Amino acid sequence: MRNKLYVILALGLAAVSAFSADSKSMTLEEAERQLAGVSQLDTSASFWVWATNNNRRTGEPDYLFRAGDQITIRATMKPNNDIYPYTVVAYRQYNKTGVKTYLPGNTTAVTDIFGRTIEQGFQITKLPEWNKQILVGAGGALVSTSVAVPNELGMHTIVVQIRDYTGTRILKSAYWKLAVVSEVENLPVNITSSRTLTSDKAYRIAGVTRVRGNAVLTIDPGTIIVGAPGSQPACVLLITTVGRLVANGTRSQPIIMTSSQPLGSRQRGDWGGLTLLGKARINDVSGSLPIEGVSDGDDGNYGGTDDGHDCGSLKYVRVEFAGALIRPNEESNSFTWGGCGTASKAEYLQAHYGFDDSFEWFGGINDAKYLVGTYGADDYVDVQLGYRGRVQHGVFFANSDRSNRGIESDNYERDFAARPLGNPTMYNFTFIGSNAAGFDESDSPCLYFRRGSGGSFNNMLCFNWTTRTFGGANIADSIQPNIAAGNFSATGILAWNNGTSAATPATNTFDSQVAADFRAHLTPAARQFVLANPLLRNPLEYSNPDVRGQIGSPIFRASWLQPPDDGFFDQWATWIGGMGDYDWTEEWTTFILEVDLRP
Amino acid sequence: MNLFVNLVLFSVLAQSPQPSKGTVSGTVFDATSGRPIPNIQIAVDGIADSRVITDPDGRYTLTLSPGKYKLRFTGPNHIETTIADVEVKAGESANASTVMQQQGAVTTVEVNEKIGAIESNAESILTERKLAATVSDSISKDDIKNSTASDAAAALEKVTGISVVDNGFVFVRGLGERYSATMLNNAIIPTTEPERRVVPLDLFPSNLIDNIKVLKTYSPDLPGEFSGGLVQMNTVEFPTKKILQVSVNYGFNTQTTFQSFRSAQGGLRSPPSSIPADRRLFVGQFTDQEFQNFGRSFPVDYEPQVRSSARPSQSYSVVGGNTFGKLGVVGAFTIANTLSRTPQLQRFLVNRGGGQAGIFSQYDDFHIDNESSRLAGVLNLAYKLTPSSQLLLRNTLTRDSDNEVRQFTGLNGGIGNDVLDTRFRFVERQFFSSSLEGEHAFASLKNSILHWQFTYSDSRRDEPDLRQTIRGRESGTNDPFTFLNLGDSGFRFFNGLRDKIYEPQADWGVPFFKGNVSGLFKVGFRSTFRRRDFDSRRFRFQPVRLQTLNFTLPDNQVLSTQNIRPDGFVLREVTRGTDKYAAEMDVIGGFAMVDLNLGAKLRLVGGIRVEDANIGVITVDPLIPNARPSTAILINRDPLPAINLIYAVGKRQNLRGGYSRTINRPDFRELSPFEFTNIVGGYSTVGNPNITRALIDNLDVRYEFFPGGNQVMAVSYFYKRFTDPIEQIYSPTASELRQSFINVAGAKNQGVELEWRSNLDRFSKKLRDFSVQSNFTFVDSNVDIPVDRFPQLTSRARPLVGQSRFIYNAIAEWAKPKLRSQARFYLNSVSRRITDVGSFRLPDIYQERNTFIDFVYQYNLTESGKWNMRFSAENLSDNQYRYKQSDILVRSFRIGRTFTIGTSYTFF
Repeated sequence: MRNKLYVILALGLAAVSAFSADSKSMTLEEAERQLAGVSQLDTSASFWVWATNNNRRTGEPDYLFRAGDQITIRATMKPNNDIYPYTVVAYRQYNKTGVKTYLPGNTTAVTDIFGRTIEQGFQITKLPEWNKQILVGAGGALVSTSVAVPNELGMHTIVVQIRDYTGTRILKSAYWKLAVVSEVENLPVNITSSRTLTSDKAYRIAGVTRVRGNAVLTIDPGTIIVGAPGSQPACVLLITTVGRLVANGTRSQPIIMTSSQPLGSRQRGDWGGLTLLGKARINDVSGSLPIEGVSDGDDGNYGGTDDGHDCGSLKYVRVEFAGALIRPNEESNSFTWGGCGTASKAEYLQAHYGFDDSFEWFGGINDAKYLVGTYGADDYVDVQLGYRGRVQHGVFFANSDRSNRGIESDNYERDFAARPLGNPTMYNFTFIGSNAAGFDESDSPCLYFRRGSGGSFNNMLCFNWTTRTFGGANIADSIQPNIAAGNFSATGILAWNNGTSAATPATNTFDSQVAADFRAHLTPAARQFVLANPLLRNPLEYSNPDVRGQIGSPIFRASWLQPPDDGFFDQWATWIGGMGDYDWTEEWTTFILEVDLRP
Repeated sequence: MNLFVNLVLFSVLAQSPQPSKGTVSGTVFDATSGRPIPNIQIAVDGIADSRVITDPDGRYTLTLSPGKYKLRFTGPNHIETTIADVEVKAGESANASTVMQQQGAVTTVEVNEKIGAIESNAESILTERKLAATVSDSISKDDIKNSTASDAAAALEKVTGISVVDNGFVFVRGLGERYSATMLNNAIIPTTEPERRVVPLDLFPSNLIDNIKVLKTYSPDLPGEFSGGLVQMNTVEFPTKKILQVSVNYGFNTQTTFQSFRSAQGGLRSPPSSIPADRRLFVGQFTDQEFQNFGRSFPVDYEPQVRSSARPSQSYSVVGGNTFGKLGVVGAFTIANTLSRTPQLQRFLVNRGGGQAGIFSQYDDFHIDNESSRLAGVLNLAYKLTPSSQLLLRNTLTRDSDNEVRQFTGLNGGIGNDVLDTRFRFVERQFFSSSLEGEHAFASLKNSILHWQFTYSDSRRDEPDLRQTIRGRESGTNDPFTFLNLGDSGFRFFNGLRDKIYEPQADWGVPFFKGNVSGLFKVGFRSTFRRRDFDSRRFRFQPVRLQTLNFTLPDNQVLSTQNIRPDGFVLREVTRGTDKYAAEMDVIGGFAMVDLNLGAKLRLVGGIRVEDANIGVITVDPLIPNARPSTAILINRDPLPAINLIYAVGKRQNLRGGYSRTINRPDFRELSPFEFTNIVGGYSTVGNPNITRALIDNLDVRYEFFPGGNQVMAVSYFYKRFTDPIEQIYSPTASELRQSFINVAGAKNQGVELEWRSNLDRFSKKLRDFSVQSNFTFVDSNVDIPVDRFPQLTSRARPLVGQSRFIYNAIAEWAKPKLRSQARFYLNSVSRRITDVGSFRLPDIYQERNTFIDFVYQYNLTESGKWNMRFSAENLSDNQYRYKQSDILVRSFRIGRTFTIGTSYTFF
């Protein structure tokens, strides 16, 4: 430890000497700060950036621009007492070519926000306190005149970076995605022949758009799809059992399905959501079921006998503000898979502000990785009807004012012992609660099992959840047999400060965190619970959270369960929770609370 | 309106001077067919007046000075008949009805020379039945009056083969409301219920009804949509003398009266006027401020008020009528108010695996407190244009409302919490029917009779401002309930239904007489144009920032006006695109039939009807300009043959046999491919545009024995085969079960009915004050479900929904005119029946056998019988209503015993 410190100090002194060539003399206090800064690989500052379109057209999100539209870029920066010394760089990147245009001078040459080039040396600065500060646009802090977007069709990213004082190491970045398009095209109600949606346009869903008749719908990276509120029926993109969706975005060019409403007034349920249906087995006795209010023909009945069914591929896809009412008392989920089989792909998906569940599986056996659920109004991961797939890496944030269940797992509501048994295998989820009352259900544990649920739930982290960690219903009669048969287990469950504001506050003990009827059956062999402060870095800064473990966090232990070596699971994720040291949510996601975007 | 007319009428009646003359009136029937005979000449003491002839209904009225007279009846095709010693008293009306034999035919059935009054008493109804062309059972005004029944539905419970389900829907021979139709004054009437095909009969107070007939076999002059039975109600008949009667009743229910009672107030009658009527409240199209204003325009009233003591039920009615020369007028008016409390247990089961039932939700404390108010009136007018033709105008208006508070607590398995659910519901139903009818007998045209009728009926049902809140707490704890943010919590719902029927009809009958063969040839048509409009709007208060709200406060404080704000509760419209629909059904039917007497013993009634039906349902989102309407259409033409044979085994015995083919059409909602959520039931329902109408083959045999007087013995057997019958199915959705409709492979329904009505003096003279009647029905039905297509349904074969295997009624009557007393004792027993079809390996839900005992005692306070006291005890057994699924009690409640005391006074 001591040796390490010396090394850092030495590096720091070298850096200070290099820096001071260009600097006036400094006080001891300033020098100490500089030294401290050098030792940092990270910053505790929180910040986010966003852009609005001054020429926004009604029915189009602020993400969409036509060439020549005026853009306003804003940012909020909370230094969190970590103010000195840093450099700040901001640029716009055209993701089709990768060309970066640096602010404030609109140069391709790299500058910091003061316009200083690398050659000139970036200007060190205290981190500014920006509260919805205009950076670019009339009265902007960086560019004070109105700025028109260039005629470069496709996705662009606004990036603001905090770098160390040398300007070389990027400590933290904020991203904002937008697209310049030539037009917004209306998608037809039925897509019956294969077609590709390209990012030079945006697309509008009116009602239910069904991909059917063996058509393949391909969505190019960086394409934005828009659903409008109030549509009857609700706007839903439905991939029927005889259709396929290939929506492979990239980290820099995610595919965004979002609300048509202006920033700050978007709401959960502005539009329906994304639904993929296949012919893998479900455990209803009929073998296949419709999605109510959405299916309008036999191809909308999911479930069958083909566990290899290919619903398509989803990669880097954001579904935002989905969950419109499709029937009374029933909203659509952000992502729904019904009877999807093993050939289907799903990774790097974000459900943002969903009214119903963020990710829901109705039967089937498709896998998924890298899921982000933010501020949903219902459950985050919901499985039923005999889902048997594998899921790894997930981070889920309850909104600051509401939360519901983290995982809600059923075998089948109408036959607790239906087969095939709903028996998913899940590893590495982090659930950050708001400690606020449940949205739909007053009994909203982080992990909730009922109706004959099987499954293996491992390395889950629940922090600050409304109700206690682990609960359920119909446990003795429907889940106990699964525990006895080795079909239900919960291992590596780290729980801290859950249910502390309940009417009868829970304590950080096993007995308090696990429902009584579960305690009787969760034998030590079937579970491994950890009750310890997870020491996450900054989990409750909603618009810019950081759920990686601090140094010394108990999420890292050599003894924790290692995911199996089965070709799907990443064995190297030997920590509890959805994130170790590496933030896989960077760039393609959005965490900003809607209230933080209001002008 | 009717109230006013009635009041005027009665004041006129009360002032008219005492007449010095009396009247004689009656009806002349054909002894073979039972049809009334028009144009029969009546001579008084040998003096014939060409103006004194029977009208198209076979009726006549004579005004004579007091004295004794001899009446002689003559007609071209009938044997002369005489009634001697008809006594006429000043100011009173004597009855002198008769039956005339056809020339060339010998007497086939023996009928009393004098068959009572035209107004229905049990005996005349029985005579009518004996002579009827089809199998029917009926209940007369006397029977209704002497029972505990306060409405048509309750009255029908005593009829052979009838059971009444859900307070108003009639099951005839085990066939549900899908297979029964209701006619009022010979016109098809629209329904007030969006989910039902027929009008609930509890809408019609018994005071307004003269008689109810249930036709069980078909004849071609009836609408083709007929299978279980056709309920024909007739409102009060025209008086032959001046009448005025008032009555008052008070009822005490052991479970309700003087108990604490929850009631609701403060509901709106329509959505607040600040909310645009033609625009959906889209987010984004209105500002936060506007939404706040919309939300604040709803009064805050979600908590029931508790009355410490519920008042007794009460009803008041008046009936009056008179004849003014050629004009006959009768009116009736009634108002009633009844409170009822029904605490109950409700459970919902789930398949825990392998069909093993477990309790999913359980509400031990489920209360329904309802205040029901009713107002109804009838005003009928008849005008004799000439002795052989008359016009009738009949108007019926009923209006009732239910103001219901439903509250329950218990475990809700769907959300895994204990819930406290409070719902206020106000339903107002109104039915209006007006018909103009003409009857003309043409002596010059072979005594043919033309009957025409035009009826306009209009049903409305308004359910404004249904309010519901749901609160929850962790199950098994005693924590206070906190407000839950669910789709139907903080919910306000408005809906209205309007169903209209325009029905012109006419028929022309020509009697013919040729030696041994006589009969009636009849052709006619009936067009039924039905129009429906349904409209609803749904709103809910949705919380935005929960930490700004305290959900532990009572509902009125959680949803208080100051909490309706952009970061508190916001109003959201959740009206669906299918919440408004318009539907129309046009059925045009024509028929030709013959009623043929072949010699003395055999009578044949047969013919064919052809019906064209055109059903269309149009759903369009009213709140989206230029929304695309969606349409479902079904067009059919069906020939419907029917034949009925009546063989007179002896003078007092009939043997009847009949075959007919009838149809059953899908209802509006069953056809439309749109999803509706049942207003009442809770299941969501999606129609099936592929269903077709079902065909039904009906076979009936009946043996009847009429020993004389008010006595009968009858045995019937019936068999019905259904092709493509429409049945309900259930399939799961993500969150609930959904109901739909299919044509199943087939179904059959057969049964035996026994009826016995006798005076006991035949057994012992000591028992001469007693008479008994009883009826027994055995029904066996079976539906075949194509399991491969509908694997969710548990039963592969089962009885029809709502069919009881046994229905038993017994009535014992004791009448002692000397003591001015009459008492009746009723026993009604209904065996178990399916109320809900089981799915997902859960068995069907059965309502268990139940037995009801009622008692009525009447005493005439005056010798003349003008002032009458009445005491009734209803539901003396007060058995629990029990519903079971897989041997688990899923619902149980009692309705309490009701003791009613009433009096009626007849002015004249």
